[in-house]
Amino acid sequence: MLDVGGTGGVRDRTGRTGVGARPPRLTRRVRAVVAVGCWLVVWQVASVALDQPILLVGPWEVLVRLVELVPTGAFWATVGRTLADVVLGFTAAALVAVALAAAAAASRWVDALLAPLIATTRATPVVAFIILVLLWTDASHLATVVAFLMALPVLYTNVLEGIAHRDARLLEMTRVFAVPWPRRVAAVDVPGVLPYFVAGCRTGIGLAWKSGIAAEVIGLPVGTIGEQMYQAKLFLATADLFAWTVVVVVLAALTERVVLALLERARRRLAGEPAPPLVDPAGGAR
Amino acid sequence: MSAPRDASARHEAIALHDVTVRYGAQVVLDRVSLELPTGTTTALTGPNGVGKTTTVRVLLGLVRPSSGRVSGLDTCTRAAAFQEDRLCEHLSAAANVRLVLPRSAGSAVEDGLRAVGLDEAAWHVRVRALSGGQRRRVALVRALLPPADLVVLDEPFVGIDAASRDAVLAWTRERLAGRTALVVTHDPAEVAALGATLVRLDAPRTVRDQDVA
Repeated sequence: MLDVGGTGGVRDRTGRTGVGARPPRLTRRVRAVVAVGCWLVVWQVASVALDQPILLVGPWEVLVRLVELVPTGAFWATVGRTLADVVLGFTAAALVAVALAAAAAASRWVDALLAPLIATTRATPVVAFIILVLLWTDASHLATVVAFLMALPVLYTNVLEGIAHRDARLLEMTRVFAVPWPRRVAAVDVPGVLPYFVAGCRTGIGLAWKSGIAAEVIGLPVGTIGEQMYQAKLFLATADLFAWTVVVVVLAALTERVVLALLERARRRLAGEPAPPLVDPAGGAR
Repeated sequence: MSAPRDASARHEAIALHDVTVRYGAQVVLDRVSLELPTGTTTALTGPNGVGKTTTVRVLLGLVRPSSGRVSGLDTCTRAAAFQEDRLCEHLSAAANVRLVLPRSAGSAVEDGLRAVGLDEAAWHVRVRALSGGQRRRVALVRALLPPADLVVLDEPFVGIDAASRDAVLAWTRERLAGRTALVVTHDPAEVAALGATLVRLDAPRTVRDQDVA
């Protein structure tokens, strides 16, 4: 459905201008590659100009270091350990957030009980949680606990908001027809909440990775990316630090893409549409 | 698909007794009394803003009267075609109808969609892709197939083209036969086609007259 945008152009529901008017995927990709290329050039020029490899290495040195790291078994073991911890923490946060938000939506008392807890969790600095977890237990799954605590408030708030913004007219319809609740959940509740949940996941995954890595750098659990970054700092191996940072950025982006693709599959399944491939062969964001 | 329930099995007639509905200081329904004779179709008409849709919402249990009494609704199952279609946009026409039916509905959904003239090609298309008239037909089929004690249709034929309106009206009359129903309409021809008892809701929002169409 098209409507006339405020700036005089024709705008569709997704805010795209023109009629059906997203630029071709190739154009978008070229633009993205050019933008990334520009920043890499700026980075390289800055490192050459500074000429202090301890303070700033260039992208070429980072690439060389990555090429050395990636083929090793230790690299994949480290990546696997941190990936498992962060994904476990985020997944647990997603499940608990949905359950708690459903309970809070069903009962004002539960909502009132949870509100200060969620607000406190959201406002507490991540380092406070890290220190507390280290006081209470060992560092072995510190990243899982911290990623859980950071992602939970965002996901909870978004799901609760999604529940509050379900289509009231459709809910009335299901009441009138006495539609059984499992059918109502599939037909009205999930489609209504899903966009809010997806938005929460986008933010929550980023938070889970940032806080999880911070926790590892402080708690130093053995065989993790955080430990590797700490070692790099200790031995002034700046190329290693940058290489592991690139690895974290790539892992966070991949995690987000996989989670969003899974949610899109779930949405299409509910809508009776054919499922897209889990990983887009063209590499475009879903 | 099971047949509509035997209306005579119901003991108490569905009725509003001096019902008033207020939203804050605004009175949207003022001391309305209305009886829906069991097993018959009643047509409710009246000018815009007089409270017809509020009456519908009271009968559907969506609005609690500020004062007055509603009888016969306690154990009553309901089905409705709302003024807006209220379809699940991401579901197909058939899935929207199936949503409110027991799993044993069998081919009733397809039979109903065919009866209102919806092309077979449209049955499994998401309703967001259908035209206004097609969506209206889906909403009507959804309201008429369940074996509900009370069927409420709020301007159910708006947007349905003249060419197929007679067939849709005939099927609606067939589905409402022997059932308790309220149809909100502005069209005397629809009242006649449905064989309904006409009730007029007028300012000051009380039933003024009643006659058999």
